[in-house]
Amino acid sequence: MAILDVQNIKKVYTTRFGASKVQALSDISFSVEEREFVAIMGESGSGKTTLLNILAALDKPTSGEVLLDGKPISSLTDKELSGFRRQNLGFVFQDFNLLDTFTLRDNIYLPLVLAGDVSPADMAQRIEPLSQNLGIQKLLDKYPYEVSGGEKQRAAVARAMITGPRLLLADEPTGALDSRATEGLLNIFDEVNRQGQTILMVTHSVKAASYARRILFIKDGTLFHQLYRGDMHQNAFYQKITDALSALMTGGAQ
Amino acid sequence: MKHPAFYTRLTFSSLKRNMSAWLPYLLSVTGTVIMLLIMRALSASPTLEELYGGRTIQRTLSMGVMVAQLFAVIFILYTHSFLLKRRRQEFGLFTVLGLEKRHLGRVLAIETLFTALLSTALGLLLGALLCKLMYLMILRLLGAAPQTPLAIPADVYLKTALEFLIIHALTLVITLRQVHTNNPIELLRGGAQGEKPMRNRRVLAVIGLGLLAAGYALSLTVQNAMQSIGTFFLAVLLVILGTYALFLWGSVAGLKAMQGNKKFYYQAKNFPVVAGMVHRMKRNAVGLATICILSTMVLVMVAATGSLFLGREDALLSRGRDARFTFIPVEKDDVPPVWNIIRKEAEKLNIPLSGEAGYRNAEMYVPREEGQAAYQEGEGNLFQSISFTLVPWEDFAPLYPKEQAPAPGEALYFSAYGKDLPDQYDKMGIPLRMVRRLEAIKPLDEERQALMETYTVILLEEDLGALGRAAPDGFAADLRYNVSFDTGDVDTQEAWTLVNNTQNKVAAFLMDKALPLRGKTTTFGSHVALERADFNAMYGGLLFVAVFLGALFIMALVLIIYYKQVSEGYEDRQGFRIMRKVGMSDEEVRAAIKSQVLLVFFLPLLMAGLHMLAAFNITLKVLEMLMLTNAGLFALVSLGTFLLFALFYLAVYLKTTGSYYKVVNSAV
Ligand SMILES: Nc1ncnc2c1ncn2[C@@H]1O[C@H](COP(=O)(O)OP(=O)(O)OP(=O)(O)O)[C@@H](O)[C@H]1O
Ligand SMILES: [Mg+2]
Repeated sequence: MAILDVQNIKKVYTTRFGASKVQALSDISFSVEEREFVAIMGESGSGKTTLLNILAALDKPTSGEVLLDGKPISSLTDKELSGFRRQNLGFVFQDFNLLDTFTLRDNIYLPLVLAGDVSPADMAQRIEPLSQNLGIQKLLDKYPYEVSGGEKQRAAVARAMITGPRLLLADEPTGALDSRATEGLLNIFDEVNRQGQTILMVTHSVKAASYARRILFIKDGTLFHQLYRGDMHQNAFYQKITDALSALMTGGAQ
Repeated sequence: MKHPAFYTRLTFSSLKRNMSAWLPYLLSVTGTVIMLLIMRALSASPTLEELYGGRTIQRTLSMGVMVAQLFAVIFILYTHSFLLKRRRQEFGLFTVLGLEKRHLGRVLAIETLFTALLSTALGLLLGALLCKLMYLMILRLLGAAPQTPLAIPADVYLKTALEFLIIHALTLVITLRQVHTNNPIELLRGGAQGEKPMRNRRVLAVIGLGLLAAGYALSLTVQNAMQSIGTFFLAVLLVILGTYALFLWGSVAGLKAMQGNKKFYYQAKNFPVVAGMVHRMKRNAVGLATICILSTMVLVMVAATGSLFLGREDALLSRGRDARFTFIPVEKDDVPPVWNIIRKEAEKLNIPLSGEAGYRNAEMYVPREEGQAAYQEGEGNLFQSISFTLVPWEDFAPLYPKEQAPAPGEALYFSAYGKDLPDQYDKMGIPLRMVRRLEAIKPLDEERQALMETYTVILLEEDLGALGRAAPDGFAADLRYNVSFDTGDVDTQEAWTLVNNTQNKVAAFLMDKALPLRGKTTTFGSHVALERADFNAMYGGLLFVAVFLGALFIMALVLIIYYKQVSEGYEDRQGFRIMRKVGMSDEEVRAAIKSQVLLVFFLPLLMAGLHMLAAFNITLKVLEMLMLTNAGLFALVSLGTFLLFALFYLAVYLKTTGSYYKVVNSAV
């Protein structure tokens, strides 16, 4: 069964005084199976963040429905929603959303603390390998304003992963990273995916996308194209993505 | 870029953007102008001076003006710092976008000038209006009818305006310094950076505790009223400094401990709160200490003056008989004619006399310690003197028929100061044997009780004469004659006529008796009805000033709490938004906020209560000097004041927590 089922999502933003309307998403449908690694690509402003926010129930669609494990998330109350988010989702935000009042360590602990059933010793045990893999173990006691953008991003990834969520949503998780750190992070994603982690990742980077098993292309708020990697080698997949993107840019037919 | 209109436009658009922070600032400055103007105007108005009791009010008010002035500076700078904090980011953006610091300075100058002119003009106008209202209130308090409208000297307005211009200039200097000393990146970051804990924490704790303990000890050990005034201000200073140090230390140490306790720290309801408080631990501590001190000031002031006012009849009760006179000098033979005059004057007014008593005494002052200058006819220091009231046994015996007469060379004594004299005593010039200390001699001893070291000594007439002849410095050779009696209820006018006429007639009689020694005659007279009027004016005046200052402090308190809540709301808003995204429910957010304010807001109140308790003794001693000795009344009024204040505090807290919550939930 699909872990995530998106049905005819539409999102219209109304500006503050209702003066104008922006159609961010118009009729998007797709589904994500368990253990899948899906990348979403599209131009800036095409509605990727909007889509991810709706999937994480941080925002409500104007119409359409998101089903998680077959259950519509619009049926959850506010309290159930925050519990649901804590238990099932890990979200890497495009703008990190780290708290300046917390050290990186405490930022990463945050979802565990909110869950309330993990002892401090357990927390320390969990953060150890994660921070090691992400290369931030020496920075854990620094504050966000004391570290670089890329280090912040890795902390944000750690925070999203520390609960071992059923679905990992990542909005441009490599946006602030150099090529080495990007590779490191993607290898981590690849590895956890192999171990069964479902990942949905928004990215502009062809390189990053080439790690995924499937790619969704979004244009002007609609699902424009899909690519499956299948048994393809990563390099070949890379080439295919590049081709698809140029077609997307020029607005040519599929 | 050089066009002046550009800067003005920039200024106003920036003010508009910061309306929510600027408007309360403008209002609080205007409020302070109003308060200060009213106090100054009333204390300098010739109209008030002419009222009976008006002078007392003016004297207390002008002391209040000094306190209020100091307070105005601190208060405005404090509220201004909140405004500044919120705008740092904006300044940073301006500089990054290419507005030179020089130009930014100009914008800020225009802005300050505008704020200054608006608040001062508004404050003076409203203040002048409110003055009239206050004047009517004072008239009521003094029980006087309004005759002339209140005149306010022009220089009152000028002085007030000038003072506030200076304060505003000061805020501008502080703002400009901020802009100049910080680099744009730091400014842009605004409040992101957390505060560093100070290194010498233990030293701070020791200093804080030491100061507080010293202040408390001073207050608790003060023995007599005279000592209390000077000590009072010293104790207040110590406690204020100690409070700041202790809150700083407590905030840092307490938070560190909370963070160290992982089981406690990593709980959803504590986690964000503790981290947030660590982030601003010093600012938080200073804010809380200020709230604590302002609360204490309000509490002590209102409780003290409230008790004075409520206990004003008590003060009159302790003074003995209704009417009292002292005539100087009176020889033994003068006594019957003096009584005749008194009776005749009372008869004229149809006032029946009862409980008549009279006795002669002489005054004598000797230095307390070797080399000190004893008091003598208005010179020297009263408090470096021991004062003796010498009463001849012949006059004392009829008043106290049960006492046994002293033998020649012996004396009985009474000590209102509570100290024993040695058996053999020769400080007075001739050696006397102090045979007995009397327990209480109510009708004799009157006012100077306990204020200074004072004794009443009863001895035979011939020994008194010998004392006079030995005549050390400070011996008042003339015998005074003290008269007291009851009159029943009389009104102020009758009492005044009786006292005045009697004094004049007796003085004329004493003058007429051409005695060789007679340099001058002195008469003193008072009546309970007249004293009541005086007390009303004095205590009414004190109460007025206290309520006034209290209102000022409370206004400041509310504003500080409000500013604190709202500014922290803005700081925490982003954090709570993120926590919601990560999965914190609205309920948890509410719980976290509640535990934060609970901790933060009731700490100062508790501490203020403790301060008030510690100040009880010394305040009581100060009150004794103002003739209030009813400790029970003071305790009751203190308790009532505290409860009332706590209720008020709770209301403010609930209200401002609401606005904090609103800010936290508002869209970014
Ligand atoms: N809160 C909002 N109010 C109004 N319009 C919005 C809002 N958020 C996004 N939009 C608009 O919706 C469209 C989609 O925005 P979205 O953030 O989803 O783009 P994106 O694909 O994530 O872009 P990028 O790759 O730059 O992050 C954009 O045109 C954007 O301007
Ligand atoms: Mg985006």
